[in-house]
Amino acid sequence: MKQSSSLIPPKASLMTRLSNVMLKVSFWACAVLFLLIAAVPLDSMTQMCVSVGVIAFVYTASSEALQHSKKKDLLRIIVIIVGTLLSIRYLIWRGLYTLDADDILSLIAMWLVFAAEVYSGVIHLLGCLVNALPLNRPALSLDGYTEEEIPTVDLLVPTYNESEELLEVTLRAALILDYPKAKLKIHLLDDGGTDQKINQSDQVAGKEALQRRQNLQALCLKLGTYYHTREKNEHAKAGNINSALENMDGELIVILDADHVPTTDFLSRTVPWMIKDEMVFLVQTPHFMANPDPVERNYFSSFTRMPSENDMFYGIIQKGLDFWSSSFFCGSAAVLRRKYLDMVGGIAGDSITEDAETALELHAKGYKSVYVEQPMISGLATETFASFIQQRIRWAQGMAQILILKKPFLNRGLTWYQKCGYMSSILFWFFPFARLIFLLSPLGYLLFGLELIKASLIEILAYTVPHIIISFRLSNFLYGNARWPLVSELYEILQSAFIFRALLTVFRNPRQPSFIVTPKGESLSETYVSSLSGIFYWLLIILSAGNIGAIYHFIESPLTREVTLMVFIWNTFNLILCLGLMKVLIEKKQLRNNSRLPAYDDVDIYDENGKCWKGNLVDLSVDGAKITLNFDQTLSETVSLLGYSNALQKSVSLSCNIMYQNIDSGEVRVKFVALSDKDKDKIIAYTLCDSSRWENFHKRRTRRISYLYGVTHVISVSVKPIFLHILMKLKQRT
Amino acid sequence: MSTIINIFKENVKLVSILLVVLFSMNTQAETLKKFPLSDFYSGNSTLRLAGEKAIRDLSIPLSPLVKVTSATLNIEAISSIALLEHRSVLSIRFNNTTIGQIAFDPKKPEFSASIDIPPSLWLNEYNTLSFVASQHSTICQAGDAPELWSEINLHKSSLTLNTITSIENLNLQKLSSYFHPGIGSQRDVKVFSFDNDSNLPDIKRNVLSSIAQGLALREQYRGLKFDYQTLAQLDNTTAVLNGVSSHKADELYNRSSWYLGKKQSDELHVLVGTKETLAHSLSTTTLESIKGPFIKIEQTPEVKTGTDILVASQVRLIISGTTGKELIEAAKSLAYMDDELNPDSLVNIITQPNSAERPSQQNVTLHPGKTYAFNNIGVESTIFSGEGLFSKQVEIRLPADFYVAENAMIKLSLDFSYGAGFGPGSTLNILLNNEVVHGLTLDDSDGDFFHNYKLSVPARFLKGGVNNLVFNVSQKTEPVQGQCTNVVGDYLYFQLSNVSTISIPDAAHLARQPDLKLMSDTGYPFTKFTSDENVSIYITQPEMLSAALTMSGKLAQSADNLIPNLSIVFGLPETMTDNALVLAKPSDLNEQLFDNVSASVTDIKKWPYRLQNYLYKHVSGDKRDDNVENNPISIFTSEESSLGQLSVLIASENPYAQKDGTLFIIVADSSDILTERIEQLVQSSLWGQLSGDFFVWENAKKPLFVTQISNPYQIGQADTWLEVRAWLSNNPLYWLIAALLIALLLSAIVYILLKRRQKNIKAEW
Repeated sequence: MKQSSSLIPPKASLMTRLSNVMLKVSFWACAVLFLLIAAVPLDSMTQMCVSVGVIAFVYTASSEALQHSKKKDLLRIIVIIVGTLLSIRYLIWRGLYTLDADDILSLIAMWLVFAAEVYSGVIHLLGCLVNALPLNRPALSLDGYTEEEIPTVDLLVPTYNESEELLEVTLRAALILDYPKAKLKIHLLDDGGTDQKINQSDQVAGKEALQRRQNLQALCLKLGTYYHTREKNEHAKAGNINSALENMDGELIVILDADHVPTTDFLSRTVPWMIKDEMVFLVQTPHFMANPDPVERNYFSSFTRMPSENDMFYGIIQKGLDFWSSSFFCGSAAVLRRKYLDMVGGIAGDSITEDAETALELHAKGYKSVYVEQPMISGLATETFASFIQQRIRWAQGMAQILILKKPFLNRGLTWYQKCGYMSSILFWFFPFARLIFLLSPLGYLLFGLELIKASLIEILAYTVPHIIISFRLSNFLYGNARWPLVSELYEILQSAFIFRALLTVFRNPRQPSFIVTPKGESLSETYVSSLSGIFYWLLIILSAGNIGAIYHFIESPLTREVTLMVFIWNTFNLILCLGLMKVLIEKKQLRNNSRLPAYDDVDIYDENGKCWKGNLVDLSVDGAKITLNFDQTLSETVSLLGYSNALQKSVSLSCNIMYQNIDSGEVRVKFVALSDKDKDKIIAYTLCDSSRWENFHKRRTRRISYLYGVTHVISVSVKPIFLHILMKLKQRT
Repeated sequence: MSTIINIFKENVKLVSILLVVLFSMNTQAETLKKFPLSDFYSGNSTLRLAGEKAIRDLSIPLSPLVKVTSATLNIEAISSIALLEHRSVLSIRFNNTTIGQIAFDPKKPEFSASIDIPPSLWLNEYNTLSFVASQHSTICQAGDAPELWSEINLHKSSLTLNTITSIENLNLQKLSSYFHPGIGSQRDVKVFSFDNDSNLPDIKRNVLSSIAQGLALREQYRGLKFDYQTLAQLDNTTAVLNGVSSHKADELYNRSSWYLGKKQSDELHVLVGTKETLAHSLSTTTLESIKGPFIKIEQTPEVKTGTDILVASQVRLIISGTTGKELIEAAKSLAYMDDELNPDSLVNIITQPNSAERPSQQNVTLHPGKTYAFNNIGVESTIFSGEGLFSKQVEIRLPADFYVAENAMIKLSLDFSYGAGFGPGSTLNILLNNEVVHGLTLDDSDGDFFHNYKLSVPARFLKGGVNNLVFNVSQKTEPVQGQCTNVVGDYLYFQLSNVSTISIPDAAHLARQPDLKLMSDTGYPFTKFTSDENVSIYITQPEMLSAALTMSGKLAQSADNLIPNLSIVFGLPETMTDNALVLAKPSDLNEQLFDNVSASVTDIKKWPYRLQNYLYKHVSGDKRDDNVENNPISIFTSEESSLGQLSVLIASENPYAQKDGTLFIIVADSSDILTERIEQLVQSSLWGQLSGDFFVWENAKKPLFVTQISNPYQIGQADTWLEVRAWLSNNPLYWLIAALLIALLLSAIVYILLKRRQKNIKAEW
């Protein structure tokens, strides 16, 4: 940058600097005025009027910004800032005027609710800052680069307990990556077959570990990849990688989780960012989940129609962080520059979220990160609610460890916006504190008569309600196409109690949590009630008691009916959410090993006699496909499917067994048959290595719905699950 | 010889004059007066007696200066035709003595009665007339059966009194008695000063208003009419005294109330002047007594020539001093002093505290941010016993410009208890300014005791000025099974202790203006909690001085204290006091005075006609009632016309103020009409109806036209923050525009900065 600055004539440089100074001065002056006007108190009725004005303005401007307006970026900033005005105003009002109670218990309850609101407000504001102008990077390729310019890559697949079949798919996909073969080495880093594992006191487990090592060594030998293991399982995944790195010399490192299957263009789309800028230490890509997580599967049953939980993070927040040079390493699906990694001693291991910690250390050294939005890795989401919670606990504990041990807000190497970015990502994981307060505090009033806020109904209508409306609107505006209304609330309630306890252990001893591998690829052979349901039953009981308390209050205390009604609505909202999430706790049976995703490819089906029928894919997985076929006779048991593979840039023919056919409806279901390694490669390339398939699917389900629709959906599914629970519990007993 | 005879004749006349003077000190004249009973009742003109046993009391105040020689009560009433003839009786009690019993006759439900009230039953100051109805329709009945009722038409019922004024030992203690709110007290006061008084401008400007306020404060709440006249010093009394002229006769005549003539009156008048000016009008003893600020009450001598009364004896209040400054001090002392502490007929004020040290309003209102025990604000412990509905009112007088955030709370810590045997329906309801703020069922049959029973009541229920906190207790017995069983609830017992406390929240001092109701309730903005500012009543005609005095007296009554820096100024200067009252004829006014209001009353009238404006609901009785339309009127018709018998009161932001303030203008076509209208305005019936900022009337009963025509604004003292709050609350559009402008500007800057960053990032690609 200094070099380019020197090319600018001194006068222009001075002008630029002057205008920069002017802008910054104006910014701070306006910011001060902004805070002042936000802090000026008004009478409630007046406040209500101006709130309506601001809300109307924000709704109009945000609608315009969403309609692909030419000035949508400007409108986006306006919407964020004007909308934020009401929220800041609300928090100032809460802090200055509403925290006074006659008794100490009420005062404590009041401050807890306020603290939760401040937390939510800070997260909201940080979210607005981070996502003010998400960065959309263009798709790059290696075309035009000479062989010399293209760096060498070591692709690492760390594994601990994943199956050989799962690993084979990942390794085969890695092998067909569109990258000069001489520049790419594939490594399997087996932590399940270490000396420590083999020599453990449990002899059966030791034999299994040895068998695993031998099997994987054979697999690697067969595929032409490198097998690595080590003496001891120290520092979990980070230790595994760091240990293997000693035996590698590639300029770039690619880390893929065992279940993360790359598309062929993964390197050609990511490595150019490394070539373009020597300061880049990380190119991160999204984790595309090929199966629904338990919430998506059990609650919404709409995996293919609704944005996935991680779409919000990978589709919006990482892009926002990228704008602020603070997109961080997510443990997999990323390219890292080896020399910078070596400068910080490899993958960091102080926390159990080694990925974010490593990125933090390299950001602090002034190196850059890049986020490429295109999904080029398909992985597996957790199958059961228990493993989902286990995964989230690790993330939350890891982020808390980073906060406590690394203190990013004090890190001098980070710029102010990088600090905001990291704090936004870290503080998010403290949501259990706020969520539990929001869940339980209405009960303080309804069951114990504690005062939660010192304000009249009209003040709540003038300040609180507009703040809630504007917050929902801004959230919907910023994240609406990746996160449907009330979904965040559901996810948070589900995780709160468990993560809350886990976070407390971190605060007691920040170094205590240890890395636990998230179980993937679990089978669900039958429908059952999750073992973690107990706490939610208690929650339902006390929330219901709260509503009974509300009715009692309403009848017995006519003078406080207004307040009772407000708290009753609040508690009922919580109750409906809790009733709804009971559905998540019923783990649905899952028949297929691999989820099928929608597909639309044109395909030809050839029977054994060479007769051809034309059709379209309906869905597809690595195991098989559903096809709509225009056929007039019963198909033979074995057929060939001819389709164009974008990954291989050619048509491929896959052998299939017919599992189901219906001439009337034209529906045909097939199972892929791999007779040779080449067949396996073709199936994997056709089904899993086409990034355009993931992109289309991703675009298909990231869409907005109205807030009313979201609320209606939640309410509509909130009645039945509790009865299902009762029924299933009764069945289990009998 | 003739000379000797003449001298003798003269001396005889002189002696006779002197004798008359000596023996005419306590003149007693009987006065007949008739009052409708509705005068003694604050509700409507019908007194309803419902239930088996109904008691209603009327309070009959009586001036301590009068004695009743005879009194007759005439009653017009109607009773239910369902009442049993021999068991249903209306008893009339006077000061708890039964003076009459009337049997209800179902065949003659309408009846009238005349009952004499023995003079011996009358007490000084306050008397109670009780109507006690014992009403039965069957032998066995429910106590609250709907057919058990009777009504007394208070408008047609009357009290006729013969009274005599009796003053024994005239001294300053009696001064309050002249202005007692009871029957027989004084409603008009004549005030005199001499035109040759070198301090006359000061007297008119500063002294008279203090005197008017001082006397009006003794009147408590009824308007007091003032009539001011200047007198010329007597040059030659010979002609007046029918040729009898001597030094002593002249002196006596001068000392008498010669300026009032021979008409006998029981009323007190005021003579104001410096010692020097009053030298001829006062006795030597009195003159010698004047050593500084001086107040004296005296009976003036009657002057007769033979049997002809030349000058009647009168009661005169002398306000004097050796200098103009002392006159002012004397007038203020008159306002401050408690008459009970002055058993002498005269006082010389030696020193009095500097009133500037603490604003006068702080002496009569509760202070924001402080906690008061009930006994500290004059509320004694209360006991309710027996069955029925009982009420205890606690008056909370707050600064007129009491301004709090809406979430501010008044905190009550109550000590109360109730005894055993309370039955269903027994309740304690607490009302603040007629709004229920708390209720409690008294449902423990063994009674209960509450210590430090804490209540937080939103301060928005409070208003500037007088607020009423009322404890309503309904005491009912436990139901008893069986026919014709009845329990007398004499054992029911409720006690509210005077150690209960009330905490007033911290408040700023801001008031929304213009607001005639606030002015009528509290005297604001002529008097403020925060400071005693200079305020003036400007008159454009000399004859309007009496009206100005009447108004200053009324303002003091509203303020419940002297407005110490209130002056009366002749003419309209270019700079007025921030808060001012102008009394004028239309022709005396200019358009600039009405710059801030959409109406004017000069020779050209600008009238905000109803059909041209949305007048409906334009006046909010409660300034905190934000639901009421508050859009000012902007459309008016200009016309050339007179006011006729009308008078108009307009309040608006003072265009001649140095800082912020409100200008009140009262206009009538002539000084006489203006004086008459102001005398009507200060009567409770009209004064209580003041509201809005545009008020037109032509009699004392009700206004012709009341509305709000000005943009609201606020005046007062607060920290800047609260002042901004108040201003923006009145002008929310400004906040909205400012907020959006700042937000848009900030957005534009942020947009430019972000786009620059984006451009820099893209440049690296």
